[in-house]
Amino acid sequence: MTDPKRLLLGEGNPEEQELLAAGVAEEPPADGKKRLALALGLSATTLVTAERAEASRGALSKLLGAKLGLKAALVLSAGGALALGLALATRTPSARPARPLAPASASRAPSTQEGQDTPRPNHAPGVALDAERLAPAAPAPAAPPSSIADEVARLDAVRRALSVGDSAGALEALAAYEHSYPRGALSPEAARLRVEAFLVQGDPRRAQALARAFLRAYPHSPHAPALRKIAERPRRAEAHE
Amino acid sequence: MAGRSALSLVESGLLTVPLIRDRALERRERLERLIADEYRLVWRLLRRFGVPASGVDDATQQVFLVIAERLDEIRPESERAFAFGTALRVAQGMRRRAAREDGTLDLDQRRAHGPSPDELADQRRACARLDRILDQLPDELRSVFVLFELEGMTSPEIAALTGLALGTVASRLRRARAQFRGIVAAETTASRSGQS
Repeated sequence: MTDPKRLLLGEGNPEEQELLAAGVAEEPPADGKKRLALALGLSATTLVTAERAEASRGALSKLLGAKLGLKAALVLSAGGALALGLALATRTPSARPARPLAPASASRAPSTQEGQDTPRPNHAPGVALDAERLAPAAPAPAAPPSSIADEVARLDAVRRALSVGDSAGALEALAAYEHSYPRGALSPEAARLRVEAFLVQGDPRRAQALARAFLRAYPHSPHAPALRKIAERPRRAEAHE
Repeated sequence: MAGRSALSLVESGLLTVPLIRDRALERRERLERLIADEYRLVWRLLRRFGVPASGVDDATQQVFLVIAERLDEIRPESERAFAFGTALRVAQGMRRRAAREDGTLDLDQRRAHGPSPDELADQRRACARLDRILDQLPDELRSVFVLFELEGMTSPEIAALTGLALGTVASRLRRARAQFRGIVAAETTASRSGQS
């Protein structure tokens, strides 16, 4: 059984090819892996090597088939504004151009989206200050331009501190991060790390209060299920710590 | 509370910060490799399975959080299939939720991540139209179509990934292509008759 010829490679008409080429050309943000790694508690820097290696393997090169030695030029022209030239030769697998780092505001949808959609959290007794930090930020006209690389590095430092049990160092680094980036692209990750820092510090009540505040602020966050586990943790579990 | 109690927090799944311990390290390395290998595919599948650009980063995180939580249950040879199935479910869930909350997905937000907004205006339009057309395909046809036409997989690769028989992949692909081409043609005809 052989596969039919793909629509993009000649079987389709120009209109179909234009649509499919647009879908093929859409790529994830350049810093997406780093942010994902950070969100999952991994060191973002460890992915750099693998990321570089993978950058040379695009869907385009696979779709067009490097082994075919195919050189295809497809011009998408609606008003002539876009010209997507695909030039693949057998020994040039890295035909996909490198993408510049996407601005944090454009590529980091979760925090702003959630911030707009959710009400400000009610403060839990005794944790007003910390809960306030979790609230979606009010408009801040003078916010400095965010550097995603610096944010990643700072939260990596927090994780390093936590990984050796240095909760005080982690909280200090988090305070510095929040001072520099009050509306940072990685604010939800920072908020979750703060919860974890209090767990490591042996203060589960405060961690739970913060987790509940986080859930009120970001009920649909990818971190919500894990924080819900912390927020709803039975007291007897705390007693073991 | 550095040593033992922190480790117990990691093992109970309450901490994302891994401690330097063999098992935690092993899991972390596997997860890192999975991200390196599958992040791009997962992100692209989520987009073409109907997750708007504004929500795709969150959806990608959800997929990998599920993978992280169930890492010990996933057989090494099934990693990609698990990522695919999870991406499909997450996308379906997000579409259902968006439909419940807003009545429809925000098509205006279906923008491509691109280096230059001006240069990619036409590509965004094409992407948005592609997504609208894919939305009209049933999920079982859509996934085979996306994997073949947009991700460049072969039918055997799709069969392995989805667990479908090769013949089923072929028939679904045939039907998906026919529907896709029919929708494009119908839209074009409608557009032309509207202009005249």
